[in-house]
Amino acid sequence: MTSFALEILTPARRVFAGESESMVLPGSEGSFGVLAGHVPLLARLSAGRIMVRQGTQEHYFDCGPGVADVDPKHVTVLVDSAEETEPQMNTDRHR
Amino acid sequence: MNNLREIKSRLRSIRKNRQILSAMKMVSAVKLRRIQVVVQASRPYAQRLEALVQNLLDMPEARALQHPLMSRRSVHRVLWVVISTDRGLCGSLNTNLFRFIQQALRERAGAKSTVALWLIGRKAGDFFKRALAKSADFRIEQAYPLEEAQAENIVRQVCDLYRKGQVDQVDLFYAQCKSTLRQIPAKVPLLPLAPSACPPDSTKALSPGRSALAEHGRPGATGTRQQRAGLFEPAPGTIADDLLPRYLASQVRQILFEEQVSEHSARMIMMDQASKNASDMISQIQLDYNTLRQGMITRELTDITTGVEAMA
Repeated sequence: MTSFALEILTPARRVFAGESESMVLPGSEGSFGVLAGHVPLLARLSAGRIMVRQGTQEHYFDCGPGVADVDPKHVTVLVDSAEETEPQMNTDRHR
Repeated sequence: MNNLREIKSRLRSIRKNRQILSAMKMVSAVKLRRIQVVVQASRPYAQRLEALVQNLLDMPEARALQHPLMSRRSVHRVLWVVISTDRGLCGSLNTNLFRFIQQALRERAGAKSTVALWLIGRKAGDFFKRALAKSADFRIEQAYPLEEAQAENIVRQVCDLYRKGQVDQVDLFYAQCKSTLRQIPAKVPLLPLAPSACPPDSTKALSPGRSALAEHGRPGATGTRQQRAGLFEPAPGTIADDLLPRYLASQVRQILFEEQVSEHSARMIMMDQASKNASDMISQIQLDYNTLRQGMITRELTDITTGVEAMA
């Protein structure tokens, strides 16, 4: 499966950088998935949860509002805050 | 005798001073390192956001967008945000900045627009309140300490003023940190947002397949990136409403950091200089002390020898 370069950045630090095969982002108009080769897209993000799939691994991040810059080979997520969490933890505290 | 004791106490006080100075130097060095770590960590976000926004602003669609924060209008009221330090003892850092601003104020004498100053940092507040008493070619919008400054708040308030038409142009003044040894006052335009920071060369800026930033070779810009096709979610206008203040906040945040880097660098250098001066003084005074002491011993010895000789 092809992958894309992903970076999740906050004003305080780089939260994630690496290759990913697919991810789900909390867009302000509803969450959406991204695969490699996605058309260029600039999306506003609401506070919520980002899911990143890396091989068999899944990473989850609770994040504040921000933007995602998607093009076929790179995804840059710029959010106010982001923290890696466990899949079962609820995301309410960021809302 | 009295003289010797005086010199001794003087020596002691200078030694204490030197101790304090070198302690302050260490403190500044630690603070400088700490803030540099923060700056380092925040840089990727700031650079990416800048690349993204500049890229966006260069798009023909952005020009058609007519975003309120980008609209250029005739300038009646100018707002200058001045960022200084809260504390002194940092050499000519603030003085140079204030002189630079006063120069800028003088240069625009006769202009029809009025200037309001937004003073961040106690030093700026103190200085310009005093200056205001002498001349009234500006007005003070607000003044508060640097430690209370928050990039998001500043940007929100400034954008509000701009949208309401209460100011027509916003610039920012601060001490730019060229290196640890060199800080120079700088003026950065904040609003209206210019389509591109690079010199107007429309053919280049609009040529597909290259971002304006990549051409400038700035770090953080993804040079290989294609000119983005227009897929936006939600509409470009709505995104711009969100993105532009975010971008400005990031810019202001970096500048606030840089001011602190400047402050601590300047203070570190000053304290280093001062403790060196103290060392010089100490060695000079020590020499005086030794000469005086030797003189006294010689005199006493002479007294004793003459006494012995008289008795013999």
